[in-house]
Amino acid sequence: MVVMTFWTVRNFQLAPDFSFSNWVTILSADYVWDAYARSFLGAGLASVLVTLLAFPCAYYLGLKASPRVRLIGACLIMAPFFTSFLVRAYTWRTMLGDQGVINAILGWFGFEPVQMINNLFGSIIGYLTLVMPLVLLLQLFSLSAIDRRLIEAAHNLGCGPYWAILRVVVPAAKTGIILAAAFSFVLAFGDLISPQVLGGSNPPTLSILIVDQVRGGLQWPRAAVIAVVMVLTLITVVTAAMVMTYGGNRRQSIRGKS
Amino acid sequence: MTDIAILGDETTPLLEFRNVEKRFGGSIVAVKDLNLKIGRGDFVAIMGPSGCGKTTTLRMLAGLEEPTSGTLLYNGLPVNDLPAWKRQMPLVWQSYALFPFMSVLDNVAFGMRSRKMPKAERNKRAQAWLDRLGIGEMAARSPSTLSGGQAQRVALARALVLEPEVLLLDEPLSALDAHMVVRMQSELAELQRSLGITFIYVTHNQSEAFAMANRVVIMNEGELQQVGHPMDVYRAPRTRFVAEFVGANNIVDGEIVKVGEAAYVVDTPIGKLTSSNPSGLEAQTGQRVHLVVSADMVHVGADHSDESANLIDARLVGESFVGNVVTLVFETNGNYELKVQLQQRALSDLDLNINDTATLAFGHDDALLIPSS
Repeated sequence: MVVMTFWTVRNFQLAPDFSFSNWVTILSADYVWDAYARSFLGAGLASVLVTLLAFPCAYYLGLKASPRVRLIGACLIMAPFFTSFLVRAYTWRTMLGDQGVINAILGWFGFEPVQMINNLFGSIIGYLTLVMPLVLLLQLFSLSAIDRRLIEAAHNLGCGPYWAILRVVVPAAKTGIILAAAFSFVLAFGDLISPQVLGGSNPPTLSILIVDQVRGGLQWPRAAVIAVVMVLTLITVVTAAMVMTYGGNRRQSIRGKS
Repeated sequence: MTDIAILGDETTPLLEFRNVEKRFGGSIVAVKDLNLKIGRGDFVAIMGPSGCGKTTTLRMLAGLEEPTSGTLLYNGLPVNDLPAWKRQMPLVWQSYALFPFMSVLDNVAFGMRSRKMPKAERNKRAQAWLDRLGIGEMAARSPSTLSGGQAQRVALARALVLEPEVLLLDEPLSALDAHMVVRMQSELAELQRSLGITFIYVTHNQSEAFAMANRVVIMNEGELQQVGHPMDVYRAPRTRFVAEFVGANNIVDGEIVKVGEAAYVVDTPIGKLTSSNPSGLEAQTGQRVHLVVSADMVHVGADHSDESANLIDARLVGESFVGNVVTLVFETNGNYELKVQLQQRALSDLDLNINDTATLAFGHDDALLIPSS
């Protein structure tokens, strides 16, 4: 893919070459940077939201619920993996559209229809649908692996239930929570279906730009440039997440040895 | 908390269990009808085999388990419904339960943070306790880099820095090396004396309990067996379970055949034995009893003319050494085993070999009667 970024297209024909023109064209185009910012913020917002939304559920299932309820919960979380994401996205369209179920209900109470698709809100709903099951599962695993004695120790030392979540549960499950958020960023950043089906394609994200480059003029090399930029971004984000997870501990143990 | 403390007076026990029962899942009884008073400044050891309910008892004190029925009183007031985080009864865990994602100092300061103490003040106090326990230089470390003994001290500091009235300890020494255990035992006993607070210490290890506690509570299958000074419990067990649990006891079943002025004659498989120590038992002729003799109260090589002692001929079948104490196992005519504990030096004076026969003797006063269960 990296090699292809240096090829050229002549008369709708791919030709091996060593040209920086694709890089220059793409990196100097404002619309690419707009799309980049849009993809990055959308995926970032989605991973923050999904982390916050999934936590209460994972907390309940992982630490409060009986083993039986936890098993049923885990099965329900896995159920969406068995349906196509495209189907789930179109289901949201019928629910969130101007003539959708939600706007119909709002209409009964005399509200104007609210636009919930073909905008950022729609994209975010799509991203959340895509990453929620995975994030729930990862958080559930890391929360149920917490040594409950740590939580009891917190209570024993005068720490009430809510502070115990903040001071003990979240730090103890930090690895899983950050990893899940990083995964959801990766998935949402590259997702095509959410911005297309629920986000309305316009303004575009990077994944939509890739499709456009290929469809409108067979610009495989330019699409490859965008893809390489995306991969580099993901590597940076995942590395940052890893440093956040493990870096703190390493620093602490080094300090301990000195 | 302070308003509760004012209400208490000298006659009110610090802690009291009143008919406390704890069941798990409706049918499993962990603690049965527990009645127990714990005074200020006591070093109480709650002992028993695993599953006897001792840890559940401790967890009820900490508020980590709620009694199914009965009342738990703290300074005379019921605290059944008081959540764990509002009780000031820090617990030292068997596994230490240190927070792995915090430095040692932050671990120790954790409880004060919950009480909204300013950071500088709580760090100062935490450091002072770490220094006092000799691990001041570990403050910046992660708990995962500590040895068992060090982690133990951090757990102690984390609890004691809160200046509690009661410290709960759940088998805190069970994960340590033997030499560390002995050291920590004397340190804990010293700490308890100098602080003057109540220690409630759960253990399955009798020697640990007897080395430190001034009051032992023995439990079995959720039931309280005996409460008392360690030496009294050791010398005068009240049930067969306690007699077995405190160890090194000979227990012979028998029937009282004669009640005399100061002595009872008991017919046992190893002959008629006399006891002048009924330990509160109102013994009657015909009653089934256990006759208990401490192994270290039995003498080897007695003179047959001694009228004040019970005499039994037996054959030496085995011996085991722990330190300089020897436990000899004898077999009597009726194939009954009797244990005798001696200092090693006393044994070499006896010149006794396996399969030799000797006369064993124990005083009437050393033969304890307990009711047959």
